[in-house]
Amino acid sequence: MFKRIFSLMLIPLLLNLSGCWNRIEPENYAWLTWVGLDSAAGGKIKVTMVLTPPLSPVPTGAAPPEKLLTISSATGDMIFDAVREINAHVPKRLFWPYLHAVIIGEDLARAGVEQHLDVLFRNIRVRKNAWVFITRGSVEPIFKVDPQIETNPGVLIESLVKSEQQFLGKSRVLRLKDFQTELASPGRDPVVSALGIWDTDKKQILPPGAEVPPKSELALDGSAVFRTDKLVGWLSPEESQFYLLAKGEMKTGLIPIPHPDNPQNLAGIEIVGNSAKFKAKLASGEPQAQIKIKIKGKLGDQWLNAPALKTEEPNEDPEFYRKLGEGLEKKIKAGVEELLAKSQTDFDADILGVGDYIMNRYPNDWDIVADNWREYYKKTVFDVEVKVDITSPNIMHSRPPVIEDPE
Amino acid sequence: MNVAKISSRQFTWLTISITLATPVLILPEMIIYYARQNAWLALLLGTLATLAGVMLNLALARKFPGQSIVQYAQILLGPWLGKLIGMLYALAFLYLTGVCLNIIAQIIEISLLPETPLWTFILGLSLFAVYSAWLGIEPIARANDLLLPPNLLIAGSILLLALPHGKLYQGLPVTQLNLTAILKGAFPPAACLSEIFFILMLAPSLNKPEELKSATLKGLLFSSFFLTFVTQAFLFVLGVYRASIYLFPALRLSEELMFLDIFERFESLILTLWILLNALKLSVFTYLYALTAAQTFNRKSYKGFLLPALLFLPVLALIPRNLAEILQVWLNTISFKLVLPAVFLFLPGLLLMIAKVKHHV
Repeated sequence: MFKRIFSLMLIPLLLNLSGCWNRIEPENYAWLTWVGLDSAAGGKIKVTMVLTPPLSPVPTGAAPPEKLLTISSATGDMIFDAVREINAHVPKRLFWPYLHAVIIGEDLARAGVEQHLDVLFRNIRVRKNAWVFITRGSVEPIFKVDPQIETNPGVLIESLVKSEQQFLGKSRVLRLKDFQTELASPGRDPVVSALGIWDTDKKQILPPGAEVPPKSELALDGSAVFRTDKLVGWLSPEESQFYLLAKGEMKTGLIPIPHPDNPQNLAGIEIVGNSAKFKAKLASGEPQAQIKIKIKGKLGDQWLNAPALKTEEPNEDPEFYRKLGEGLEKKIKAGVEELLAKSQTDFDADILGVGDYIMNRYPNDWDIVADNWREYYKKTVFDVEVKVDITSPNIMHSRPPVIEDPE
Repeated sequence: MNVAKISSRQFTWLTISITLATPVLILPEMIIYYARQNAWLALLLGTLATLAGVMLNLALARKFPGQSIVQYAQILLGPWLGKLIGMLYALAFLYLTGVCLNIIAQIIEISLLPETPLWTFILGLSLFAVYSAWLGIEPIARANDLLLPPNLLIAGSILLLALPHGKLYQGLPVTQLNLTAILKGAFPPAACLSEIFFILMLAPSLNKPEELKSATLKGLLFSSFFLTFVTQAFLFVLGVYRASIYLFPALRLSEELMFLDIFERFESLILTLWILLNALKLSVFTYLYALTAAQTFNRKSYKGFLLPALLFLPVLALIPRNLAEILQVWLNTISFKLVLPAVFLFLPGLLLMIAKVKHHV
């Protein structure tokens, strides 16, 4: 009897299972997908957000809301301050765990970002896997784009990054967590992807400050170079390619080189694998860095404008592969060396993290150079070694066959 | 007094659970902060220091097989001083439980349920600890048999999944050693691992007393190995800066881990496992507190001492008001520098010396 009464008393405990202390229903949330940061008058910071109504991850039959991209903005002394200001006119709880992009305007980036970003690193709700972008000029135009191909702003950023990584390799996309690491290290200066707007009618990247046309898409446009936490310059898409190759971060990409048979023609090499070994040390007071880049590629495209060699037998020529590889090696070596020289003179930014490597591997040596690292970086001697492995010419023979004229 | 029996394997697993439970979340950051890439060396030194202490405890326990420290303290020092030592041990167990309880509650509040008041976790966990202590050490050991293997398996596989995201040079040992920093970094692990002093009370529960030494050492070495693995994994994946600026690098790593580009934010999983492990530790320590108190006052059953624990544990755990207070004052100062050295090294050392002088076998 006692047991029965006791088990009846357990039933009210089931009420606990219905939810937590302060549960929040999905419709009370506003999903935050992009955050734009820009400097405002009076040393303030302006935060712009893309808010999306909660979408069901499974098909429910209900039509998705017409407008997925709602924009709100506010200014404040700090980011968090501005975010709370946004709550003054957005009567929903801002939901940070789905954050996809943190977009930083040029003015703010030039003035220094590290002191502002603290809340993004400190708050557990903010997704540290979000991507970071820098815009040329203000971030404002980015939020005026009405994307046509992919309308969901969260998916848009992910697919932009994915296509960059899978096909392009011309911009260094970076996650918020890695941005934090690179900002914090005194021996490394971040290189971050630059976000621009593609004018669909004029078929070009919109210059900063121009009016956003009705037909436009987001586009990645090279990379931004920082010195400590301040923006100092830009890398063109080609320079970004060399940067990615030197870091061993390029997944795929196409690099055209002069054709080995006839330099007037072009051969496009599709990179299918890239890794890089980086080593640095202090030798007799001067930093030395060694970069060994390994690349696997395929012949992706031949542009035979001028007369080209033909083959009489259905043989693949190993010598041709070697020459293709050599051509690419020469181009990449020259490109990487030029980029590094530029980083030493123009940017004065340790983009590959020579100092970071020395700091991690030789802490005592780092103590000697730490105070004066910028000067030491200018004197760093780089040794770039590139090894290209051409695996195949895809599904066609590398040289076209000779076809007799039927006379 | 009839003491419940557990096998030597269960004893080893309990040792692992207790020595891993709290440290695995809060210790790596403390070590990396000082020792940086040489965290493994700091852990090694810390483990060696603890090993020396454990040998002392084991030597003492071997002299009085089948008896706990409270019982032979009364033989060695006479009833009054012996009872005083017993009370000290009971208070130490109670204090360590309270500290652990507060740390768990604060970590849940910081990282999972920020708007829930602290007392809900503290009250719930104290009820749990007291209830399982009421059931005795055998059920706790059996629960541990169930919980520990999946716990280690899941935590280990999450770390392994995260390793490919790391950079090798961030965590490789460096030759340019900074010895003072390493020694500073070796102190927290040595202090944390010295919670293993609980074997002085739990030794009589072992069904084969001759296996006490091997069971304890196996547990201690495994824990230390696992901690080293965890700490180095944090270094590889997060780097020195992020591993030392965040309070709980384990949560950071599991939150940022991306698996198949779809699954993210594993921190609730890690936290759940961690709470389960800590609940076991709380239960064991509460049980040992009650057992110590019962043996001190020569009671037949330890259960009478559990009700005061139900009252005192929440009160104790609610005193520290913030994270700084619990970590700096209660843990780093009182626990690490006062309570643990006293119960792990000083008192057992004193008793061992007296036993040698009095020629006990």
